[in-house]
Amino acid sequence: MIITHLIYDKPSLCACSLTCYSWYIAAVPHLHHTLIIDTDDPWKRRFRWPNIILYKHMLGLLPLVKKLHIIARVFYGRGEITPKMFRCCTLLKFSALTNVQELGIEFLNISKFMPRLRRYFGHFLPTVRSLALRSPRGTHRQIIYFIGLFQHLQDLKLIFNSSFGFISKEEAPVGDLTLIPPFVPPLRGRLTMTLSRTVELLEDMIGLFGGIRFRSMDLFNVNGTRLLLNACVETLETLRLHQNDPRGE
Amino acid sequence: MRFVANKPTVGPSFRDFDLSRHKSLRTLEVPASSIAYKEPGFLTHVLSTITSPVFSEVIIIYRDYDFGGLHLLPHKSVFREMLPAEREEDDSFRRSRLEALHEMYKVRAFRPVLCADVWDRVREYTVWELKQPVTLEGGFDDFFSKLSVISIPRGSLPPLVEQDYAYSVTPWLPL
Repeated sequence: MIITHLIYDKPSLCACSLTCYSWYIAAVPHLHHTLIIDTDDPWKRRFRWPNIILYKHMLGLLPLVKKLHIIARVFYGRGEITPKMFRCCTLLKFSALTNVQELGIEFLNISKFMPRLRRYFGHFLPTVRSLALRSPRGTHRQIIYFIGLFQHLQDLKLIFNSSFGFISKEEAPVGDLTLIPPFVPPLRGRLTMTLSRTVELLEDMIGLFGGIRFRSMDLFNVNGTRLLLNACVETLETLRLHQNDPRGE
Repeated sequence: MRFVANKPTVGPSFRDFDLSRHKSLRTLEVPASSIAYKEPGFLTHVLSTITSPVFSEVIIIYRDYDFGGLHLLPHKSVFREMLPAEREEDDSFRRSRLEALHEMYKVRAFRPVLCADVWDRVREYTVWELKQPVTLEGGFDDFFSKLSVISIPRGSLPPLVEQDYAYSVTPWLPL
C-alpha cells in the first residue's frame, strides 16, 4: 500500500484523503492516529477543553485515536488534571476514545479521582498498552493502583519532578495501605523512569505486582536503580543509560 | 492535603549499575547528549560489569536537539544553518563522542551504532549527517568498519523542548 509509506507525512496523507473514497478510508486512521490535547493556561477562570475534541467527536473520529497525550501546565498548584475538568458532556466525548493504546497524562492528581477512577478512565482500560505519567500526584499506593487498572499494560513511563511530590504517609487517606491493584499488568515492555527519589514506590510496585519483567529500561537519576535492575535480571535486554546523570559522573 | 517534596537524597552510585547477572542483555543505549565528554568513566564501568553472552551492541541515540539550527524548506528539503565556529564546535563534539565510544570499545568489543531518533521530516538529513566521515587520529580503523547508522521513524512532533532547540520554526501543528 502506498499509504503505509506516508504514515508520518501528514500533508501527503491529507492530499491522499481528498483523492477518492477508498484512499480516504486508507488514510484517515493514520491522520487521526495521534491526539495531543493541550489544556492551555492554568490561569483561566473557567477551564474549557480545546474545540478539537468537540469537532472530532461530532465527526465520529475519536475511535480512530490510538495515541492520546494530555499536556498540562501547573503554576502555583493550578492547572492539574482533576475530576473538575471532566463534566458529563466531556466524559461523553472522552468515552468515545475506545481504541487508545498509548496514553500520556501530565500532572494527573490521582488522589482527587479516588475512588472513582473507573468512571473517568474506564474506557481506556481494556486497550491501553503504554502509559506515561508526568508528575502524578497521590500516594505510592494510589499511583500503583492506577497503573494496576490497565490490565494489558506493557510499557510504563514515570517522569517525576523535583518540586512535585508524593502525598506523605501521615497525610495519606484512611485505608490507603489496603489499596490493592485490581489487575497485575504484564509490564513486559519498556520502563522509562526519571528523577525518582523514592524507593518505596518501586518496592510497593514489585511487591504488589509480584515482580516486574521489563525487557527494556531507560533510567535517569532513579533511586532504587539497583532494585529495578535486580528485579529484571532474567528479562532485561536493552538498557539506556545517561552519562550525565548527576550520580553517574 | 499536604505533599512531600520529591527532595534530593543520595542518588544511585556506580555500584548500583552492576550488570553481571543480566544474562539476556543485548544492547546498551546511550543518548548522544550524555557523552559529550571525553571521559566516559561511568559508561566504561557499566560495560566492564557486563557478562551477558548475547551482548552485542552499543547504540548512540541522537535526538532532534542534537542537530541545532534545522530549517525546513518547501518540498521536504532540510537546511542546517551554522556559523563556521558552530560547525567547528559541532565537529569537535562528534569527534569527542566517537573517541568516548572508542574508549568504551577498548573495555569490551561491541558493534557501535549511531541512531537518529528524530522527527520523520528531518530523518533523511540527519542520517546523512551522521554518515559523514570524521577525521580522527590513529587506531580507529577496525572500530569504524563496524560503525553503522540507523534511524527510528517518529511521526509526531518532538516535545516542545526539542523543537525549541532544533527547529527554526514549527511548520506543522498536530491535527
